[in-house]
Amino acid sequence: MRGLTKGIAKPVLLWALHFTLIYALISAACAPRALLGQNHLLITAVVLTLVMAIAQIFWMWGAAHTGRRSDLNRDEAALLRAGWWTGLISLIATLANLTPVLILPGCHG
Amino acid sequence: MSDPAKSTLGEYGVQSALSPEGVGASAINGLTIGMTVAFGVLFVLLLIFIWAVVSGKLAPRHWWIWTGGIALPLVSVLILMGFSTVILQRITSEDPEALVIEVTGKQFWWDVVYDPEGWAMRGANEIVIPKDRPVTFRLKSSDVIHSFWVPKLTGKMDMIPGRVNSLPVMATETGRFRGQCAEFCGLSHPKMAFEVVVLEPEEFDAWIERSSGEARDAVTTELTRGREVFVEAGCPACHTIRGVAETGTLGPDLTRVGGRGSLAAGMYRMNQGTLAGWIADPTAMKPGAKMPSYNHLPGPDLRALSAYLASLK
Amino acid sequence: MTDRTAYVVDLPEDQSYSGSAKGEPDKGFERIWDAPPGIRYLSSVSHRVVGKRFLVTGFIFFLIAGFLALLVRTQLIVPDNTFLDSETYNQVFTMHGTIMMFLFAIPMLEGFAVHLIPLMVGARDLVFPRLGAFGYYCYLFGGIIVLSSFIFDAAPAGGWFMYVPLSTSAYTQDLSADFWLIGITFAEIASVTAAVEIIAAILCTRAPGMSLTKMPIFMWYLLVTAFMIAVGFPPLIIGSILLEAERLLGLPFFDIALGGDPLLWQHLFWLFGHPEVYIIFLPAAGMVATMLPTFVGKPLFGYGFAVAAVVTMGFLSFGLWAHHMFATGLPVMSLTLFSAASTMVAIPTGVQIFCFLATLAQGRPRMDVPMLFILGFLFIFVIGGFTGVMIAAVPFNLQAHDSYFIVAHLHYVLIGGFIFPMFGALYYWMPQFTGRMMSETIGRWVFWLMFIGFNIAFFMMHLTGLRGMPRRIASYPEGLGWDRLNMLSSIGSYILAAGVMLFVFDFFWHQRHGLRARRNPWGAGTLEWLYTPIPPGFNFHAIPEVRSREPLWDQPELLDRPAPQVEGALRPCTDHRRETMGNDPITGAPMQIVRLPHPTWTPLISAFGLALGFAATLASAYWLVAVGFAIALIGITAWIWEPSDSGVRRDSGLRGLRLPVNVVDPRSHLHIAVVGTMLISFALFASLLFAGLYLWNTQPHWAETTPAADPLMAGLAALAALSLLLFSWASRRAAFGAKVTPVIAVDLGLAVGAIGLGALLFLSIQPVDPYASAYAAVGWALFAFVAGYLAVVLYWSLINALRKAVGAVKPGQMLPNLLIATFAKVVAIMGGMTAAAYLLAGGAI
Repeated sequence: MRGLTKGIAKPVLLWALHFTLIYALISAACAPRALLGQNHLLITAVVLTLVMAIAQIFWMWGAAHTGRRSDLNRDEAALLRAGWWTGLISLIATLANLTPVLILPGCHG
Repeated sequence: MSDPAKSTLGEYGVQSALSPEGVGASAINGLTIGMTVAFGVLFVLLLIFIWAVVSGKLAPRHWWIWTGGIALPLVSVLILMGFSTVILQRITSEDPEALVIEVTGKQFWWDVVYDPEGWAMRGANEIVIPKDRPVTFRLKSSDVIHSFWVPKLTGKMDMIPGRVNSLPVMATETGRFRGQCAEFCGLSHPKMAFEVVVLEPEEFDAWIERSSGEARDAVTTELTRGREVFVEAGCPACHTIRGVAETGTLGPDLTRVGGRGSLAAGMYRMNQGTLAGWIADPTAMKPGAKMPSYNHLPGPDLRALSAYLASLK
Repeated sequence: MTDRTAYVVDLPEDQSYSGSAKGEPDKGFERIWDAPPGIRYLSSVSHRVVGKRFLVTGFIFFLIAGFLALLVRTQLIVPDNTFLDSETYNQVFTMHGTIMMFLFAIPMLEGFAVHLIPLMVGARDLVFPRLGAFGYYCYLFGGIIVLSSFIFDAAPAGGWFMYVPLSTSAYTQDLSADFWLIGITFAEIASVTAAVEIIAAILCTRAPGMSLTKMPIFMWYLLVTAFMIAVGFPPLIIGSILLEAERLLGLPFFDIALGGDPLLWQHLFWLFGHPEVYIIFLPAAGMVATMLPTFVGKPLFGYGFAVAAVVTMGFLSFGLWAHHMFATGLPVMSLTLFSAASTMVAIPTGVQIFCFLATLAQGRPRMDVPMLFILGFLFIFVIGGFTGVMIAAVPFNLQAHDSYFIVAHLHYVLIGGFIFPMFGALYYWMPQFTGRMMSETIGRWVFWLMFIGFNIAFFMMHLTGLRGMPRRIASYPEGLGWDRLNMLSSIGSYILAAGVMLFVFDFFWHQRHGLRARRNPWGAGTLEWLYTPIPPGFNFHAIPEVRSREPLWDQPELLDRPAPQVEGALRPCTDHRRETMGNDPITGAPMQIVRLPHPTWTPLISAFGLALGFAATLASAYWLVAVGFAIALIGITAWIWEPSDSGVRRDSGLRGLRLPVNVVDPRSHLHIAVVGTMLISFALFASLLFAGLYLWNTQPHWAETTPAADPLMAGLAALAALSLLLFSWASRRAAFGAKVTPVIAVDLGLAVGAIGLGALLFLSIQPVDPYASAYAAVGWALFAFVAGYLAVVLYWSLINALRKAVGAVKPGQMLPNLLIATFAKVVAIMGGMTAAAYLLAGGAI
């Protein structure tokens, strides 16, 4: 059950990390210091998002796989469902974080 | 449409985002209407659904959560984000050829400089712009945070000390529109408004021509006396009247003060009476105004001064 | 799961340090739990007393803030009104927002949490009763400080958001901003202590068998809320401290002339401010999720979905803070990121709303008063949700921002999302507080008055805003198209107020004439209704085993006999102590017996000392500040110096299961509380670090002209941090050992490590002048912050050493060493990060 409980926290923690990093990247690229060029911003953000999205999909797949086992009790099933849905919502939100970098040509539109 | 010569005070809808007269405000108004209709329909559908649920006509299903919780929000949000981003890019993109007008927010009025790198003509509390030509406002503040908002032209933009923000605007209709400070800025925040006058491009050019020179000369004895009072009472310490005294920068430029539609940053109609009232006791008309009271001026001097200022068109 | 063995030193039963010495042997079970009579009532620490205090005080603040709102509406009823002058109006709307957000909403939800958590999870009290009482007094005194500003004619008038530079001493010369900053920060202590308390209480003191997913869903909501408070409040606390330091000491944190940035305050404020809205909303939604099943007679549909929704909402709501700053001229790309993140919250919200609807669809709901409020919540909150998505669209936001559209939106969200569920909850749980039912008839009137009044007051405000009326204006000129709309809003607000007043009347009326509540009057499934709700001092004679999410529905043995005879744990009260069951946080398996404190004055004394210190700061009476903080320190020392109860086993009364008392284990409630505290501490530290990074990034000129910290000293400080880390590791090892005296060396090692790290950090920051720039000042603030924590490590480790030296610690009682180990570990990490930041900022790495 400890693992299943962590399964609820992991995907959304990953979302938090992803959001923070994307925010940091945009801030680095768009502030007066301009530490990062647009291309670097785009590449880093895309790679970051891909890695994290794959991790989240992998966890969701794992949860779905575990969910097919027959020896789960009610507690475990509830945790598993919560974990899978947390994964789904986090995955969508992670992809949403990437959209500004993807659709905008530069910091100022 | 309003009479471009008169104050907008008391004019219905002169500050309304729902009757846009600028490119930005029109685009946003389209978004507003679209969202209101779409969410209105969704809300009614949801109410019908809730009614059906409460009266026991529907049995719960898991797909409700799939559709209502995931699909529906996701689809509406994606559509919304699409429109929103396109409109955002449109209303924030600046034309490099645009006329630049620098506006500095102060407690509780607006200092205006037309084309700071060119003619650098100073005004206050009333901004004249040409129709159908791009204009970029450079927004600054010299004290606290203010926000520059003319709902009929476009969305608002904050004026933050230490920063310069840009707000591109293009008016599509001539007229006189009201703007107001939208960020709480202290005691007289509610009394910090202004007006934007939109002229036909050729009228605007003529206006610039007419306005950039020195102030009108005093043509009667009373007006001449008024000009003397202006200098003697110490007004030039803060105020500039081009051709009379040009060192004061703390207060609004008064070179064309009588030509403005309103007084005290969009709060009172401009005439000799309100001008005299203002000079005698500014804080009664606007609490927290920095200008000291001049109620010690003898009556005839006050009349002359206010008549002189009212004549500066 | 792999159940790790609890670390317990087995000792014979008759050890003199069993803790029974502190019991009250002349009293029986019920008398032990009685609240003390007379003036000593103030020393009560029981959750029922403290919870009621929070609720009553919070509601009084609600009435005060509501009255201020009526003043606002009366001023705006006609154009150019002179009912209030600008100055007074600014004070009134500032205090309305401040009181509603800080002194009503959060304390009110704390009141519900404090009162209901133990009853719902099957505990006899909250896990840290003294902390709860201390938090309440901090809130009360902080609230009084804020409110007293009216008496001194220095009520805050800068808006509840206190934007700089308006709130700096240059533009607010009087004490009004100080009243706000000091009073609110003080009251926030209650919020963060409540967060720690809620986390530990929910995770560690559940009834035997209550696993995470057998908890009432409300507990998930509160747990998420508590974590959000722990991470969300620190940015504001740091921001307030920086601003107060600027006002009091002249440090240039927000001084534009010295490289400060007004937007830094906005970031810190909204990093708190946006999650705050969800901190208020989530517990209310949790109450809805608890009440709904009762009125439908079926369990919540999709418990797992709801858990996922509330957890994700808790996280996603942190990614939206900058949507309050769309008009500040941030880069379009940042705007779009926050816009995208903002709209994403619609997904978990939608999941949750449809869980509620599916629950409703399971049966025809009984239309009792709480149910009406729930339907009112759905109607109003959904509108607020839709307008929320609208203002997440940046272009629309640029028109709507700071206009009455936002006023309408936020009241739809907060009144719909908090006030309506809260009134429903008050009707629902009132028997728990008074033993009587409130009137159904009057309740319906209250609901309809509030519902109709609310919609009249706020619906058309959307239009007022789009017609260009900005917020926070004391008067408006006639004829712009706002006159009738404002009059309508004002009339609506009076109807809303009439509804609230009718509720107040009903409350007093029902105390005398209300029907006495039967056992489980609503037919609910959760544990708080096990006893007939005539409030006794105690919660459970015996704590029943829980095998279901709705034990009262699924476990017939709970309701087929009088509640005092229900079987369960801890019925024998052999030590005459207040005690409750401690459990494994995840499985709910019994793990320990938790000893709870009896009534004590230490919380009141400590809070009073702090209040005196803060109030004296306002009055600039610095000797009194010292006296106040000395009193607080004495109170806290007396509080922590009590004999330890850990290290013995006692009969749990549950099938002969013998459990350790206050076990030395990382899953101990105390250790979990330390982990929670360090989460808060690290969030505070991260907020400061964010401030430094932000200034470094946005004001490069100032970062480059600030002299570097001494690299040699900073390097040595990093080593000192490492040594502190080693000592905390040793302390953790020692906690599980049997030898006491040698551990004094470890305690002293911690003390020396703390002193060394503090001294080296101090030496390394010497080349920097804190008054030279905002960036330099933040460098010093980092030092001061870490130094404060090091002082705690020093004080605590010396007390630990002293207690061992005087023989107050017996083998198996070294839980404090485990606690300080975790504490010092995080402090060492923060110290190390500060040293690294000094090295990096100076370009040494």
